[in-house]
Amino acid sequence: MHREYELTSLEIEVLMCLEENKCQTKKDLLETYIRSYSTIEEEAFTQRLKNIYKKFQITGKGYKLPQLHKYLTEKYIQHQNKDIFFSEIGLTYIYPTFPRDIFEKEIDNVIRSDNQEHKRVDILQTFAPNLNDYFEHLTQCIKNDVQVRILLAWPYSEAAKLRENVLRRYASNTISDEINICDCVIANLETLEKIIRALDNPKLLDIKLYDTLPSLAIYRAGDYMLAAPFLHGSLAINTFQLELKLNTSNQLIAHTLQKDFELMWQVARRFYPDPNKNWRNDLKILFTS
Amino acid sequence: MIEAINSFEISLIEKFRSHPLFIQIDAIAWHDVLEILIQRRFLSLSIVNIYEFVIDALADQQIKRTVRGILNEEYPRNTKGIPLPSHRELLFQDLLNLGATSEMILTTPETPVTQMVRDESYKLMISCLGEKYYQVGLVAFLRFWAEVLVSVEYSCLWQRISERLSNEQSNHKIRSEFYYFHMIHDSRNSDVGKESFLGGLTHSQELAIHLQRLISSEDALLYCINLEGIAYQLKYRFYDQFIVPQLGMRPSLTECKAIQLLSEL
Repeated sequence: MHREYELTSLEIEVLMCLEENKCQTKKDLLETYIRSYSTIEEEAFTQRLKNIYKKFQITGKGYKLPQLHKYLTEKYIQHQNKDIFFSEIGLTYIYPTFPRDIFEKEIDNVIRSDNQEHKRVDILQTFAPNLNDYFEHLTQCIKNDVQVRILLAWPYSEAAKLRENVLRRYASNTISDEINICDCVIANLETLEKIIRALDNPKLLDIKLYDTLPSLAIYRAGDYMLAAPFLHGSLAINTFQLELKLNTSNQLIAHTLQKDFELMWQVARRFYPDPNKNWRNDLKILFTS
Repeated sequence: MIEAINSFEISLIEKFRSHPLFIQIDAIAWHDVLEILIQRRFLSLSIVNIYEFVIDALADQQIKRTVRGILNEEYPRNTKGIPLPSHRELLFQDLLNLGATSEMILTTPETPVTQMVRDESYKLMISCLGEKYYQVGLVAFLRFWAEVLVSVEYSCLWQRISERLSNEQSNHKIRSEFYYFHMIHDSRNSDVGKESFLGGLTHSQELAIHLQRLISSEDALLYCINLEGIAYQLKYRFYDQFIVPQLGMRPSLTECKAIQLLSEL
């Protein structure tokens, strides 16, 4: 708070004294201050208080000290509520970009978990530029009884084309100028095809494609989730990531995001890049037939 | 204004589906079905030239991009740049799976009618050059000749093709990798101007978007309608060759040659 109001260290001392002792008058506060902190002339103390009132914009009529006290108490409660609120809704951290290693560890936790309910990994993206990074992890997931669901954009959808145009036009880095979402989704499907080939038709790998607009990019491993927006200016993995715990008392975010994932999963169409088939043809007509 | 081309197309498609060959498709001997498909392959092979011609003749960059995109799909690659079987190879494979031999496919000569259809189609495109509405005309011709009617043709022929190939619903038959997919992704699917935002676009619809954009006057509309009508007639004549008027369904190509020889005598 002292940074927000540009308080000096001596002014902070006065506020701390006020909060600790709940003094109602200036005289009480001065005496307590002298006793607990340091000696000060009354005139200097009055001046210090005036500066504090000014910084907190305590300008109302009547005694200003009770007004200051009330203001500080309200601020404190608000601050405390915020803390409780964020932990209650499961928001544990915000990363500047996608924390690759952390998500790897969370996948490892899911692989090792004995709780069958935790043994699920979900990814919702238009295309996942980092999918190849998790080739080994996803393979291990399937080998260890973890259900993996991948939800990507149907590359021939108008929504995918729109996202491509937005990135080309507005994203700041040069990679985005050349971005071709169709190729990027197909590259993801080629990665999944490699997993299918390596594991001989795994039943625990489920892939679906959607022709609508995605809500947020979601990477979920058990009760752990990273969610990021599809901004105009960058890929979802290159912007801030909300780290969320899903088993929280307040389900405001966790439930909403999971529900939306399930809805998209429901309207999306299953697609299986079978290494023994000419799946690119099937891909082209997935939503046409 | 665009409604006129929609109702025209629907009536042409209806007439095309009623071609005597398609009406009697179930009665044709399997060997003759293969001969029809082998002749039809010559038109498929000519598609690349038709597309290349249109790309070179167009000035509008937006349509060029769409036409180029569709043409490139004929020669797919994976994202590492490695070439995958082309649509031509898939056609060849489908024909083999239908029971044609490699020799039949490779050595059967193109009939004069098939050749005429190819030549006249090419000449028709050349005749567009220099015309006031040549760009929209080329798009209208390309869309109707190489996409809309192709899908209609394969959907009529699918009745027989599906005896031996599947669209993956069946486990007992080999999958069609060429006919089925072209039947779906070339299809007209909606009226011009009614393309849905969801569900993606077929080749016909991708081109229809340009058609709607470029048909700016009644004259342009009539020009397109006329070209679609000629495209229809050419394709109709292609299937006419397999019908002998006096004898009903033409028995086989060999016998047809005999009839031709007799008439020349």
